Amino acid sequence: MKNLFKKYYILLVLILTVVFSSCEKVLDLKLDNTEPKLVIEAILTDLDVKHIVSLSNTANFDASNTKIPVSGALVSIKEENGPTIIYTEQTPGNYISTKYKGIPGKKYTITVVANGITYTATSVMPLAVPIKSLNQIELSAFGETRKLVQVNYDDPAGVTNFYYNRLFINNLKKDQFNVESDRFTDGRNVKNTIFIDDPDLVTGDKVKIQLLTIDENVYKYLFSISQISGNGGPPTTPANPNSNFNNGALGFFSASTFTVDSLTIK
Amino acid sequence: MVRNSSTGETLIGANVKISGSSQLGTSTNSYGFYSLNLPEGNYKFEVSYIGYTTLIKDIIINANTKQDFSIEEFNNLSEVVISIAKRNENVIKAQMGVEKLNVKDIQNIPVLFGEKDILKTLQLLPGIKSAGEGNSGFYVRGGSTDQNLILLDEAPVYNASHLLGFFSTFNSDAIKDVTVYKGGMPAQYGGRLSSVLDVRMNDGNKKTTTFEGGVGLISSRLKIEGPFVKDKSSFMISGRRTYADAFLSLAPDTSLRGNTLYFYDLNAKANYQLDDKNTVYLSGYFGRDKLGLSNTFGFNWGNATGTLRWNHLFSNKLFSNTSFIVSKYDYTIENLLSGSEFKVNSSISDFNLKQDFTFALNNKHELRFGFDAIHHTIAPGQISSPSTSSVNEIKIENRKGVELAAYISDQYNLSDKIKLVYGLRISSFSLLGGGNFKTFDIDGNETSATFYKSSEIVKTYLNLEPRFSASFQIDDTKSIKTSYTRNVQNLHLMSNSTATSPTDLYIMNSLNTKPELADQFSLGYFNNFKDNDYEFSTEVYYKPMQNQIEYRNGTDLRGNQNVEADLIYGKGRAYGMELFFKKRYGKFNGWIGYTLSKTERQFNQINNGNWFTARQDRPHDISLVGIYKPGKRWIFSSTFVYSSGNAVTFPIGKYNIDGQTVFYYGERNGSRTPDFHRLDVSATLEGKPNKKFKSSWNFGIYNLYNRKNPFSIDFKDNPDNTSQTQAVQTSLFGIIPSVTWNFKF
Repeated sequence: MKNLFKKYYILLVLILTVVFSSCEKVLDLKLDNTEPKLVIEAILTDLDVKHIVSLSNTANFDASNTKIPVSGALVSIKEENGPTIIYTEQTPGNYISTKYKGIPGKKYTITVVANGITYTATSVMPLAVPIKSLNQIELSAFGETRKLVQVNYDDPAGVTNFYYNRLFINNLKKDQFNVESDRFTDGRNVKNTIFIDDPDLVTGDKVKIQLLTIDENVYKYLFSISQISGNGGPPTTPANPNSNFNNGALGFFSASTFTVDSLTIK
Repeated sequence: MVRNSSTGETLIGANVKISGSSQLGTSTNSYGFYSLNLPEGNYKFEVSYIGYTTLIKDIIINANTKQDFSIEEFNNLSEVVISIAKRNENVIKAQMGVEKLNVKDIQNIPVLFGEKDILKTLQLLPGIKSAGEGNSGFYVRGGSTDQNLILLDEAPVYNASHLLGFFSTFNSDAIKDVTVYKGGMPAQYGGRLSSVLDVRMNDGNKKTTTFEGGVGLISSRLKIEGPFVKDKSSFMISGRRTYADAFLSLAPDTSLRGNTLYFYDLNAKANYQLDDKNTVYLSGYFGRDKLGLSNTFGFNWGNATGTLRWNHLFSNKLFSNTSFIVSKYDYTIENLLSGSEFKVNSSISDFNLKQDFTFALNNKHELRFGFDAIHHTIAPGQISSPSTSSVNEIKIENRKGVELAAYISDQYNLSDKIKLVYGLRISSFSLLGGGNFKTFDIDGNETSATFYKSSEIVKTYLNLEPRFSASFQIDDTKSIKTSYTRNVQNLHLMSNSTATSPTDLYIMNSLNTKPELADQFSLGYFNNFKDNDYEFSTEVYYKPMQNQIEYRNGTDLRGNQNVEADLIYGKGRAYGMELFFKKRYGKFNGWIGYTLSKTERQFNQINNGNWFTARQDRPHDISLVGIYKPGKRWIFSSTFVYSSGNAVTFPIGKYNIDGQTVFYYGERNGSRTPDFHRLDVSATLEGKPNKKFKSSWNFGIYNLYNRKNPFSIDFKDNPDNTSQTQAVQTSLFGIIPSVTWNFKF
């Protein structure tokens, strides 16, 4: 009897493998191209450091992933009822400020003048929510045990908060936008589990997480991008995310508070 | 009434006609009843039904007579010998845009894993398209999956799929009759824009108790039916369950044991004939999917429906059916991750009272009239969590609404050549309190919020739905038909993904969301050849749609209290041509269907307000079905499907955001995936005849030439060269053999 069941079981595993292991292949698609568009990446934090604004152009799908820098632009950020910080181009496409510390609660307006067009965006720096700690958890599913990291922080009650977890494994930034809202966790001690795309974490991996608070526009922008790639759920019809920049620029400007913590996987 | 002679099962749509007359004739309704008005005299009755030998009987009519017929089902063995009356009802009747599936055919058509499936077989007919490989969702004439009204014994089934869409909830053992209307909807149906799929369960054998079942690769089935009281009352119970998880629990690896993955279906029905004027029926369906990863995650969903019906003959001319129907669909998601445990419940439930009358006024007019009242409750989502969890308890307000409808239609034989069906349906929808009802402007900003008490009417929508179809018979084998119908839809299924999911959200009309409307115009030519052996038809249709609904880009649906702020409204249009050629009888039969169509949508907020290709659009769609019965025991069958690729949005550029490649997308649905095609074959070996215990084997091969059809196409960095991006196609099913053993005794 036992043997019979074992055989059945092996058969079943075979069947399940056929059913649920789909097959992948690379396609050679002829995709259309577009006119280059300006992309602005700008994060201003509450750390007393030199901040960076990066300007680049879009590339065709079959081109290299290397950024196409946009040089010779004028970049500045104005603090509400405060000073204007001028950025200067240090390397092509990378514009650096002087040392400056953003203030939570303040509204910031960025102005970029590139190729004769002026682009602006505003962002209000949310109140600081620091990481309390990171901890490791284990999940088992279908015979495999995965190691994952949880980020612990205290969500402030009564205000809407949005978070962006920037994830680094062995000092390499992971290509995933982990954004969270407090829709379900307002005012709680949040334990946010960070699911990691392949490869799984292994003992000795150094995991670093930067927790940035973001405003709603930036949350929606990053959430839209993460939704397109599916990130576990069913994929949505792709669309270009709504940037907080005007005049058709892509990218986003975020005034964020910043904390960081790290942990070595056991 | 017309019944099956060996089981006593009533037959739906059986034809009763007077020999030598094309006008004196009718067909049985959904309960097997017919009514004919004849002057006194001697008549030769011809009673026929697909798969049954035609009964010819001389009857003298001299008063109001109640005449029941029992006709004999032929089995595969005798079919080649017995001659059967060749029928041309498809040409004569005014109804167009209708397809009836023979449940026997379904059994022989090859399907994935050998799991017989009416919804997948339907997708082989022109005008009905699969929503994706292995998906039971379907698109009818450019409509979305939620625009199909799926009825099981009159109860709406809100989610007709299992295992995330790979199988349908209909266990074909329990099914008697399947009719789909893709145009020219009769006035008794309403509530959805695109189609009505009317599925009726078996009543149960009134003569003897029988057992029937099957063992397949992924599931087993068992059906028991028989009489309570011979010829008066019977029952049917049919169950199906997949057993992947039964083996998981025996796994040597303990971590596998806590996982669950299965679904089951249970259909049950009982009827009792009180006297020759009154019959009551009680039927129910329960189905559930369960998916669980031991300490992480649990997910289950399912439908439950119940129907209580009373058939009453007021007179030989007036037939009445009264139904009380309940239907519920719900899902539960459990997150068991320590520290963030929570549970989400969501449901839609209906109470429905329906009254239908059929009145055979004379042999020129048959009237149908009645009313329908449905109370809907939608619980969009309730999140509960233990106090140790970091997740708050949230409840999104329930929504309640009442749909009321009344209809009348007349089937009018104007002359020998012209037949009409015309009618009107009046439907209303009232949104009921209590709770806060908000309005939003075009950008999704809240403009007002009003509190309504429980049962207070918040808003009422009233609509008129004219229905008309006509046939003009050129001769015995040729006719031209035309129809116009308006349909209204008050419930809307919102999905922001490219695949249907059990968590898709139902919403009802509101202060912001108006009823969806569709007008359909169609014209068709019907022609039978060679003594009705061959059937050819072509239909063209044009269907404009109003108040279509989409989500805004980037909407976060999870626990969203103000989903309506994220909805946008627009228009749709669909038009096309369907060709159908069928060989109906003989050792070899089958059909070819071809559809040429276009489906578009227009929303001010999408694609700069320009019309764009809808997700449902597939210009070319071909299906070929062949069934061959060379001798007494073997049946071979094969299907081939080809369709244009799906309309999808592809990138036209890329850029870098915070170290990650992000794509810049072109026109909405402006590109296409590679073409879809697949060949499936199957062979059925019937057991030796004339035995009490009958068994058969079914062998099938799905995707015979192992075509890698696209399920999804993703764009990502090339893992071998991260400075480049690539397009990666995922295919679900390669070549898949299956074997099923069926028995009956």
